[in-house]
Amino acid sequence: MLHFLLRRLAGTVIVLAVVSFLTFALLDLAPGDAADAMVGEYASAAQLATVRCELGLDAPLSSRYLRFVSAAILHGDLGRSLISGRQVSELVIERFGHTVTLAMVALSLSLVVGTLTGIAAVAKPRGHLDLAVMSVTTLGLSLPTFWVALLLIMAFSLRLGWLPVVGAGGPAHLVLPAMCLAFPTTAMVARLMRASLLDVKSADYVRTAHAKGLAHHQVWRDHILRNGLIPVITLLGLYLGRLLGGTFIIETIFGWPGLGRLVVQAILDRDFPVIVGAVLLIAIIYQVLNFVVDVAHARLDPRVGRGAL
Amino acid sequence: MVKRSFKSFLRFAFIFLLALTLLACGPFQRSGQPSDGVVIRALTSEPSGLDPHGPPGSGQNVLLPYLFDTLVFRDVDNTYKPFLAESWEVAPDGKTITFQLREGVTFHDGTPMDAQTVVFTFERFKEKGAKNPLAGGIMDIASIEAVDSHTVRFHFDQPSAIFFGTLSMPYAGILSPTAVKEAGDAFAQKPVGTGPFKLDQWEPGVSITLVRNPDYQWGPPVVQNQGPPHIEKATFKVIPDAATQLAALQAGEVDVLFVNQPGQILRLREEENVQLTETTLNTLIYLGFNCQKAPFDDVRVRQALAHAVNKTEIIETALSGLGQEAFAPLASTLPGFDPKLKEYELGYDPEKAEVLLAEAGFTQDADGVWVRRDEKLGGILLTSTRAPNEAVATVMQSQFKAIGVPIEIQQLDARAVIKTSTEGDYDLLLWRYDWNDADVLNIYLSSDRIRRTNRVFYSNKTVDELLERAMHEMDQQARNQIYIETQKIILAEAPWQPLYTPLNVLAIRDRVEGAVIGSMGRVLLNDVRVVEE
Repeated sequence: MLHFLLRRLAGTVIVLAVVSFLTFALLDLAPGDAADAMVGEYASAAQLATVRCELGLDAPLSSRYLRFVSAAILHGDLGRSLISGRQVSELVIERFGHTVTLAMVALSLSLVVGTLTGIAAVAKPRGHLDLAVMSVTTLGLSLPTFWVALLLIMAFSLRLGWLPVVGAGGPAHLVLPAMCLAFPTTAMVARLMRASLLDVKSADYVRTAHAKGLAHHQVWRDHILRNGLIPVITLLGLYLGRLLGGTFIIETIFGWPGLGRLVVQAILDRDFPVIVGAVLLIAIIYQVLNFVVDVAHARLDPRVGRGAL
Repeated sequence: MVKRSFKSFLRFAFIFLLALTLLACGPFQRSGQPSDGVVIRALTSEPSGLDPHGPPGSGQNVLLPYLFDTLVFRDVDNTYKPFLAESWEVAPDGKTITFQLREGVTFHDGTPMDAQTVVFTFERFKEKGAKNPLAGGIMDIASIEAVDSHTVRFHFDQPSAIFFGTLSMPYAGILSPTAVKEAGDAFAQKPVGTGPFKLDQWEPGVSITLVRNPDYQWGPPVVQNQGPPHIEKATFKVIPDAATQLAALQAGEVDVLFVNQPGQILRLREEENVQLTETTLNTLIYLGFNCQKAPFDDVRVRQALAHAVNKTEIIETALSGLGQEAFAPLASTLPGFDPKLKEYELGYDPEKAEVLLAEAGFTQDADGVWVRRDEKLGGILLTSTRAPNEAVATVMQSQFKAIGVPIEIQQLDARAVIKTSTEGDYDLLLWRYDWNDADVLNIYLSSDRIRRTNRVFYSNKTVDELLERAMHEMDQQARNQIYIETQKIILAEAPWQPLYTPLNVLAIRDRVEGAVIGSMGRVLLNDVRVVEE
């Protein structure tokens, strides 16, 4: 286990180094820099040069990257936003809290609803319930999120007047964005759950379990569900990574102050310290999640078990 | 079996979709009315900070005037009224301007506003404000002196005609030296001015709330209530998405909204309980030609393409009729505009366009495309992704195609458009300006700004001289005359084809009464009262 951890840690360090360098290099290729963004389009050439020099953007890519790395490693300092002058760590953490809340609510919603509907559908394959679940989930996967979001706003905020349109604060603000985010995931979980359960249900070991006289619920609990959940967990792990990286469209529509909006605004402003800080955070999240998924796999599936760790 | 299940599959999907859509349509109900005494405005982009000398932005433009007062107030008719300065005197040579400051004005932190604080503000601006769009006007100031406790004198090397315009902008607000020293770098998060509102709470990414300044007694002359605002708070909700802004207004979560998309204006016109007021941002949308790149370096080619543009059709098709045709390089609301310039317009005339192209040595090939020395006439029309640029560009594309000039539309984000056009990597440019002074022609078309703000690479010595003279002409009548002469030359040489002025609208819910609209779309809340709908 310790060996496994150390190997993972080393991998993470390499990933962070590569990701931060690539982010720097790609931003360098994008037209315009933060000085352009800051002075606006009316500024004179002298003004622009002054600002560019103040921000240290006139230095070559390599020296800017080295300066960033040394500050980050030696002082744990990710720098300040070029635009607002605030600490990057502070900006990113401030937004990340909101993103985590939204992601967790959306994920729990999809996990609970998705698993239950998947199980319900499998109880009688090709029955009416199964068909209903399959058709709604197909819609869930194919309807564009922004359209669903606007429809939900019209239905629940404007027509029924139950929920606020925008903002963050109370739990009421969470409902619509979480529903929007959960809709496609729930559909995916339900379909995967159904397919995986159908698969497991007809497996030899399940027939054996029935044959050796185990009670129906015991077969389901210990054999069918336990095995059926494995692919769902892999999927949710990956999906959580996506949610925690910020969901720009949903955040924009519902005015939710998440990470996605911060990053996109920073990209438009070419505010590279903020972009790099956020990208690093997202890279770390993926590393942690992959680790957690691997551990969960090992616990659920003894075949993966000790060997993997 | 398979067929049956597919049919019921479709049936379920259809019923689900129908239910959701039905729920979404029909009459709307209002939810969660904001409490009395609070006015809520939607903000498209959150300010990065509220230091007037920090980086500019549309959020800053909206918020700064509530927190900071300026020396002079610019009215909608572009005249200047006393504000923190009670009166002023311009020396005959235009090189010194002396302001008599109002007495008894205090900052939010209790510091009295006097000549020293004004000197402090502008010296800090000169030192820190390189990133600000006003920097040009501020850098003209040679020195500032506090003559006595309430008299300030500005010295200039050359008279500056744009100085009053600069002074009235939100970024020229007077700030509290005590607060600046105390907050240091954090002043952008803790702004302290003399404005009618103070910063109450800033929830990043969500909203900024201002609370009324109970000591306020120095409102600008355009409002009735010179004292503290009637409303207790003004909240600015950050809502990046335009469709959500509209929904929030309909749901009663927002009272004031700035709208410039034709589709949304049309929808708002049907909304009860909402007043629409047109605002003037001195905006001009124009088509620019890359004057250094063949074949657009040939004035006849530029004129030909200008004649191919049908502005009426653009406004009808791309803007649903919500815009005003423009014919002069200056927006019709700017001083220096003259309706008589209409006769110099290169109006819609496809036949004349063809004559001009033939004169320039072009012939039409079998497909009707104009060719000169094996080179086809055409190119890239560069514009930003901002609505309704795509629609306008598409209409123009078909108009050019009609006379035999195929063009390709390239849409980039605004920063990339600025960068690409500054480097001259385009043929045609669909772009805009919102500026409060006729000096905008100098910014965009004088040859010493080439490779910076002059992105059409237009160069004309006479125009340069005229624009330079206008910059130092303190007599408004004489200055306007110079601009009229300049525009005649510009129109003939066609570095730009002015297209239209868009309709900009402020939507205000009926519960908010007494809002006064100032210049550049500013909403003054001093007189506002909240009433029941």
